[in-house]
Amino acid sequence: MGNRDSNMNNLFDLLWQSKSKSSERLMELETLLSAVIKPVTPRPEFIHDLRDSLINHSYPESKPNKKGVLQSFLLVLVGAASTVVVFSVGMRIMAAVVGVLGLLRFSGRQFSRRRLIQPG
Amino acid sequence: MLDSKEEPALDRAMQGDNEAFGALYERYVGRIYNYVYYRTGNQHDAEDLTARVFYRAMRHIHQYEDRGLPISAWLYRIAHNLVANWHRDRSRRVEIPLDDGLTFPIGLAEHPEATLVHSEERERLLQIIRGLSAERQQLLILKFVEHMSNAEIGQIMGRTEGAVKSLYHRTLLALRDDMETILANEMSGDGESRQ
Repeated sequence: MGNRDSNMNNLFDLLWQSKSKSSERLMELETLLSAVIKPVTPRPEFIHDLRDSLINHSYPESKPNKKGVLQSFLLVLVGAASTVVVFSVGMRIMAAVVGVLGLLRFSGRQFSRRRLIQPG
Repeated sequence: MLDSKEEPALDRAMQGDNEAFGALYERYVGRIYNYVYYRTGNQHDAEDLTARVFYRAMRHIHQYEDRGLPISAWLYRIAHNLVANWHRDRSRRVEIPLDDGLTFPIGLAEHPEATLVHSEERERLLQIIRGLSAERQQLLILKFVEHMSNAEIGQIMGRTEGAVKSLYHRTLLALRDDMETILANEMSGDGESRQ
């Protein structure tokens, strides 16, 4: 029993050590990252020139996007048309199925009537 | 969620006031430059892309919608997209490397403040960081350059605070594993060369 307890203690020690080693390593890595990834300062001339360039820049007045409106209108139109087509095809299939079922039922009735009429 | 200082400037900038846009520019140029700089690894491209970020922002500022996020989130999004395009274009070009892995340290050498820790370890770490996903790189930059909290990073990256915390932990683990793999490879390489 005592031997088993000491084995368990060793196992916990090992687990604890590996965990603490792992967390220590992550902390070391964080320290390393903070030393490596440091803020850098852009060149003052670059900042100044870009600022001047942006302030003096002018874009042409943006016009409403006619192409985009037309595209969305066409998309809606195509969507509506395809819905109508799908719906009508579905209706026609249903009508055909009902028709075939009716025909089968009618021919079945005719067949049984003939059998009744035939003597014997 | 807008900063009370940036709100009037933003309103005026949205109405086409270039001076107001200039005020916003001055506030954010450093942050965007740092982000782009660490994502590209050189001053020249960082300046070029930073300029493009602000030109694009200026062109589209009238379409800006306040969704309860700071304007920096919008600017970082533009920067993120432009850097992604830059990496894509760069990967398409056939390049002859002068020396494997030296691109980043050379670029960073242009900034003395970034070269205080000048060691092989640092160069390796930067190479490994560049190998991470764009999202993980962004997280590290926001954390270590901007010293943002997880909640602030979450706003920028469109994630919850918990998700950022989890992503950060996974990023550290990935970095640690990559470093260990590299070290193990080097040690086995040393062993083989000695034999």
